[in-house]
Amino acid sequence: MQNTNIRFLDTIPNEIIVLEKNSSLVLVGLIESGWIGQRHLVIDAQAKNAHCECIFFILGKDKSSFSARIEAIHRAPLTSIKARVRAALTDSSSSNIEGVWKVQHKATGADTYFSHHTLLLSDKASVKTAPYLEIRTDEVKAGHAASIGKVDEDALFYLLSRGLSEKDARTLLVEGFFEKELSTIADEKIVNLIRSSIISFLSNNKNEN
Amino acid sequence: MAVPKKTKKLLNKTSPTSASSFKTKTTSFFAVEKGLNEDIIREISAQKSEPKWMLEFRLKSYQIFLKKPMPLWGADLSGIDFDNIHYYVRPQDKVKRNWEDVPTEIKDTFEKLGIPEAERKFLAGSGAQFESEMVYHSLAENLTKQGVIFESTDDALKHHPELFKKYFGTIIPPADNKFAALNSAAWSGGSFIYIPKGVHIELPLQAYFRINSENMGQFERTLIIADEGSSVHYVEGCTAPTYSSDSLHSAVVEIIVKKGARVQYTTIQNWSSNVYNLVTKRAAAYANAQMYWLDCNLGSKVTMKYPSIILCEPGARGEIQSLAFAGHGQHQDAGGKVVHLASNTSSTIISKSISKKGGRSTYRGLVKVVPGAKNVKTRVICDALMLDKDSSSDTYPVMDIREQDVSIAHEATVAKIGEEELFYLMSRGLSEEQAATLIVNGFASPIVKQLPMEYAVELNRLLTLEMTGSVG
Repeated sequence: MQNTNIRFLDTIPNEIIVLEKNSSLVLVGLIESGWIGQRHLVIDAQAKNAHCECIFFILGKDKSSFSARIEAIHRAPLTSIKARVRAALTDSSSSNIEGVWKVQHKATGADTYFSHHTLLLSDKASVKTAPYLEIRTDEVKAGHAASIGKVDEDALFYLLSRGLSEKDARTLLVEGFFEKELSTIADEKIVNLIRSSIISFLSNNKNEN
Repeated sequence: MAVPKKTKKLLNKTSPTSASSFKTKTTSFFAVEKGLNEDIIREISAQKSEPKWMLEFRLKSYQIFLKKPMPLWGADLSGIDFDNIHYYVRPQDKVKRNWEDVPTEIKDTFEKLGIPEAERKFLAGSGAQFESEMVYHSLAENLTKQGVIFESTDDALKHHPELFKKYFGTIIPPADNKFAALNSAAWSGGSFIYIPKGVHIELPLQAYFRINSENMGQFERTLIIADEGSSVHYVEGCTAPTYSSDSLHSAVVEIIVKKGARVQYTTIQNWSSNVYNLVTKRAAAYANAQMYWLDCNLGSKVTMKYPSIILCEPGARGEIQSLAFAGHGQHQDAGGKVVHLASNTSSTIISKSISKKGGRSTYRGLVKVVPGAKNVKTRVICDALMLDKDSSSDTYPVMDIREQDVSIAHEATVAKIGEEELFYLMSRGLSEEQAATLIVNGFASPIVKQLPMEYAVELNRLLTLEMTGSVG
């Protein structure tokens, strides 16, 4: 049984991470402050049976910009690299995530996935997402997904009809948006930290919607 | 999905000769020398007795073509030798309205392809382009009476100069990209369609494009204007014989879908494997209009084609469905683009690709929502099927969203043929090849089902042909 190593980050780092044989790495990011320009994170699965999972939470406010290119390269057999990015953007914040997922010819049995879900909480927030896949072998399980939208009106109506105030209802729905990913993190301390950050982010949100 | 008996029967009839296995010996009426320069452009324009503004448009476009660099972001285009191409080959003196009047050797070509037969069966009108010129155009009489125009683009320039000038080059200007500039400089042939207000054409209009000469460049230009509340379905098919050196097909298709109108544009592209197919297709859809691209790419060496829809006014709807099959040595770089400029607009992009024997299929797409375009809904789905370990599949979708009040969803999957599926079908007595073919047909069927029946049968037949010899 391999040991899973968890790294807790407060940004998307400019870094090349090389995954070793039989290793397993989990990156969890709670990202609240933006940066200028584009960051470039590379996850390079060079050896057999290497696994990496990235779970990034982006909480955008003011004019902060979150621009990154995340590149996942499968070079060896039986590797898995999965990344899930969830962003809630208020004010004039913006996120621009390019996910470049490459499975090379030798990387048979690769299991690869990238998702980028964004909740736009202000009419000035914007998002650009580009989930790329380059697959060079058929022995692969590959997929990606992206969605962009605002708080679901039907769900909001339902909660309002149950007597919740609009602010509480919206907060609950945004928490629910993140909760799906939080439940996959094993480290209880990290989960609690992220959860409380989300709550304080939402209570400071000046936007009505 | 079970294959209906009728289709099975047709599939069995499939002869070993495909559209690319024969070529016709013809004597061209007129052909310019290889390469492109201002003199040749003047010659093409003079041959067509064009008005001065068109010659100026061509010359200006040629300058743009020279200035624009080759696009490097997509497929490998280094094999194109612009100086080794005939830019204009004229097979006969003018467009014929009766099939009997078309020169025998050209007629034979299209008869082998089954074109006049298709017309007799179920078309409201059809056109056929051989090399650079439309050789034949016909339209059902009742539609002519209703004011429908379906002519070769060259004839339309002569017969309807004002309508032509008003719309030509407005959706795709010459500076759009290098190949749109090349087409604008050297264009010849293509269809011009105008549907008057409130006219619905029940049966499809069809055009068939054939490159017959070696080192030929075909640059047809199609312009469709659907006036308010009208509707039309246009179908195009393309083939070429196999030569040792490459040909270039670089078309421009502009479509204007006015308020409440509907246009469906269906393509079944089966160029031979030495044709570079670099096409720019774009439609502008106005209030409550509907635009629907159905794009099937089976042939060619390299295809780069991204049918686009600009949803300009509230209530407009766009849909792009594409199917690509990349076999040995082929690169199908296809996809779709939708730009939402107005509120209450919606779009769907569905792309399915199949790669085998080292073929490469690429989905490249864009969804853009500008600020202020509220209540926009979009769904993008890309599925890729890989038939062996040497093949490739790429997905490059971009979503650029500047408005909050939207609902955007995208998903993509890449998979190979499931062992269990194969095992199940083989245990029922099918050979491995039959089983794989059935699975591929099933994968493609959501798109094939959108085609008119005759074309669906044709496409299934082509898929079966492509699958022959792919296993074992």
